[in-house]
Amino acid sequence: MTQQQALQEYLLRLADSGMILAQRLSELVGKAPALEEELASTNVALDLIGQARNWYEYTAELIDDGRDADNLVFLRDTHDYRNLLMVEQPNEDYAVTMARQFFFDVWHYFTLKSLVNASDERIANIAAKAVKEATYHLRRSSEWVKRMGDGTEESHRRIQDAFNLLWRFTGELVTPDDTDHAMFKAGIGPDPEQLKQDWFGMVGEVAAQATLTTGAEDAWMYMGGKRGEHTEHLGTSWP
Amino acid sequence: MNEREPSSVDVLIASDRVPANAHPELLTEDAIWALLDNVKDPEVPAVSVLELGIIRDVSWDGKHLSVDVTPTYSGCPATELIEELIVEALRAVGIRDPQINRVLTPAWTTDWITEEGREKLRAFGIAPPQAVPAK
Repeated sequence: MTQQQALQEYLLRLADSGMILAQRLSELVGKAPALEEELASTNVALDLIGQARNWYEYTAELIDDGRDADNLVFLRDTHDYRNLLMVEQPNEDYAVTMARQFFFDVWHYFTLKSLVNASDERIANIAAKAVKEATYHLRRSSEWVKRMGDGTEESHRRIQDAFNLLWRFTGELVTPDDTDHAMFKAGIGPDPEQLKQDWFGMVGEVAAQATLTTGAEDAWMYMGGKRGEHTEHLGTSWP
Repeated sequence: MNEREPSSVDVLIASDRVPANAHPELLTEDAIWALLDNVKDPEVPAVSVLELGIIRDVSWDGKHLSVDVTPTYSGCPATELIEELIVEALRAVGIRDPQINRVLTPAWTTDWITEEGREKLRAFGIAPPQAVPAK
């Protein structure tokens, strides 16, 4: 794998992860549990689509085979997508939607925070814009996790069930592969070890305040999204 | 040539015509800034793109004008429309191929809304964001 290939792979992961999560959130339009959440979830989706567009445009320039951003978003097959498995999981109840958002937001926030200092100026610029938005996303989803976890018996049960359900997809967020290592070495991507520490640190802290328990770090994890092996849910999210 | 009163069609298409401004490059950068103050935010037409603080730079390079514009947020649906409105305003004074650069850094903040912009937002019924002391 050349450095150029690694860079394209890495950018597609950022672009696809944001885009697919935005598609999931957009399914909630007209169906959110409260007006405030209707506004918030669609706004988060809009931020993610805008960021994804920036990543796709840069990726298309690098790939340079005549495909543009639209082409990359809409005209690839399921196995060409490089998104994290977490983001393609269905919305289910609002606790699952919010747990998915929270696990992703922690990863997204620390990843972008690091990318702001990337040696690649274009990446640094896109990240500088996106991290401001991701900061709000994380604040919102962590507040919801605490409210549900430390709320009623019913809300606690649901968010704990959501944590249990989605835990098996968290390993992929913090387990580096060759591409992640290559990007770190190139002065672009985050230090994988640092990202892992930051992710567990914040998730642990919020879970404690929310009176929730998390799974084990060494639990068995599903990991295939970053190389195009997806759960059955991705295919069906593209009717 | 027949002399005639301008018809309504002439009026309609007048805005699409590039007036005979043989030397648009003589417009100073200050004049361009002033011109852009007439381009309104399509979402909140009470304020101009200048008052919103999204025009970052205007510069001539020989006969080529470039304008740096920053989106308010990554997914702003009006980004492209605003860029088109700016191009349209510049073409109207004879600048044929203005270059619009989408600049992401430094990222826009509500601090860049001008004092006048804040007043107009207030009058429009939108509470302008207050500048907060840096943490």
